[in-house]
Amino acid sequence: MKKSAEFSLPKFEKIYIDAESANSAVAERVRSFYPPHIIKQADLSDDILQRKGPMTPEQFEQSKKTLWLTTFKGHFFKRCPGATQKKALTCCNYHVLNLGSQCNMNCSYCYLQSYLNSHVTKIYTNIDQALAELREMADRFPEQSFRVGTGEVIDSLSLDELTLYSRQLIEFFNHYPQWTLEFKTKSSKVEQFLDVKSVGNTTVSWSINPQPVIEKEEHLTAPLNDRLRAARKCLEQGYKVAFHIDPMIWHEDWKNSYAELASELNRQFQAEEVHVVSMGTLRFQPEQRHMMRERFGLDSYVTRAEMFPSEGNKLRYDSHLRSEMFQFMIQQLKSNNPRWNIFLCMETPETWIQAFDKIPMQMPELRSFFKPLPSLENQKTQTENKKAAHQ
Amino acid sequence: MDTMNFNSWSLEKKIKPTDLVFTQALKTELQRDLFNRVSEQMAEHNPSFSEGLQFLEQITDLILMGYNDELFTEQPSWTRWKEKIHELRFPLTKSRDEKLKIKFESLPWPAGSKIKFERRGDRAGVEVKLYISNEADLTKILASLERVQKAFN
Repeated sequence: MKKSAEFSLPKFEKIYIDAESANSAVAERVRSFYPPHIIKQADLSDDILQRKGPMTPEQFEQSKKTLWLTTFKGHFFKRCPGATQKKALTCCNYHVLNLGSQCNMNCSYCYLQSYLNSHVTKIYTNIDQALAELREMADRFPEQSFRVGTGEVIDSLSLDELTLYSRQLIEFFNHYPQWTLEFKTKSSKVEQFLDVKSVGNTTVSWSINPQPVIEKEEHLTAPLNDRLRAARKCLEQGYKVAFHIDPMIWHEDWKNSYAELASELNRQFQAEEVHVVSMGTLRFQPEQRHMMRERFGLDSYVTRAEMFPSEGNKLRYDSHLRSEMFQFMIQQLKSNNPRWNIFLCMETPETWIQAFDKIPMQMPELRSFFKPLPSLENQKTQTENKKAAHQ
Repeated sequence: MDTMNFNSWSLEKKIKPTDLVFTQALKTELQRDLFNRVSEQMAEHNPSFSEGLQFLEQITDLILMGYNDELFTEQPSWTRWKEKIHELRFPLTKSRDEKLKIKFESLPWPAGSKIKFERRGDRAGVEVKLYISNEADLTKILASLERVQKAFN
């Protein structure tokens, strides 16, 4: 495996390691890469580890520079937050597996600014427990095809050179070919798992934006071309690849920027090579605007944006503008090749209809993503009833 | 009657420091001074709690965007001043809404109907009031609405 000199280390100023995590493989790697004077055994008296609740902008910045290797005590496996707003939004049945929280990149619109409770970056070292949880789910619901993503509250791959969790997850999912594993990243870090063979159920996905938007809003992330090059490498090794053009950000030159992005995708990829392209426009919780204003001022497309309260309570662009942006991007992609498989993320049925003239259940290529799943609890009862009936 | 100043307005409306969290983004003396002058002028109009806070947050954004003298008004009307600030903060939406309003108002709505263009959160559209007293009215209105639909597209 690569040594630290071969990759750029995330810039942590202080690293805490729990006693329970001290012998983990991640702790061992962290100790081998970072100077000993910044590493400390975690102690209950460490104020920063105990602090909970909303952060000030300074605390949020600090939380990106402080790493805590610890164990997660709750359930790793959860429904995507979109599923909790099913009355307002059309949701694609995504499940999430959180193996840490916080991000070492710094996007102006990042929802973690209003979401995180802990004042440090966490990496959970008990991945074995997470895998045991998944194994139990697979045994309990053998016929269900879950889509599981690891990039909800932490970028799936930006810290992966430290954890190497991607390798363990790919190998684990190889035993469950009906399940899908999805990494979601704004980094270009893929070399650490490319030698692991996948049975074809791992999708590596990139959140992408035009380069001018990346430069202005997605600080410390990989440039667009590096992300696309990394996607090409994954394709060459047999991984599925997906792109999330999300959040699309309005700016004066947005049509040129997004047309350029579509043309770059069309130039570098065949539509058939890309598993799916999802799209979403800028959205955030209303309370997040204060943190963003303080951290990024008004010299940002995001903080200057004209946002309005919408269904689901988030602030969004005007609904007509959202539809215009989606229609423009869909047209830009499909005019070159109509076979791009596109869907909208966390959008209302009305916006779907304006963009596609139909809802996802009326689109054969998307139906499997959006087919309603029974709740896990109901399924448990059904499976148990089935077993009881057979006995 | 005494003219209200910002302190007395804040006391009367029970404004807490956390309600003014957005002002923490004002980092320079110049920005804070500008904010203070606008907020004193606003207090003279004695807006409600929510109107006042919404206005002050827009003022904060505009100060951070580099606006200065444009934030003040010579006009005595609070409504006009509030609208002017809103237009400065939401210029694109203002222009889009105006075009949409003209489009909606030019549609062949049923005779006797009342239409009112308004923005509700992230959506802009018209509220249409119709009066129907018998089946014939309903038939006529449905036919008119079909004409509206055709004209809309």
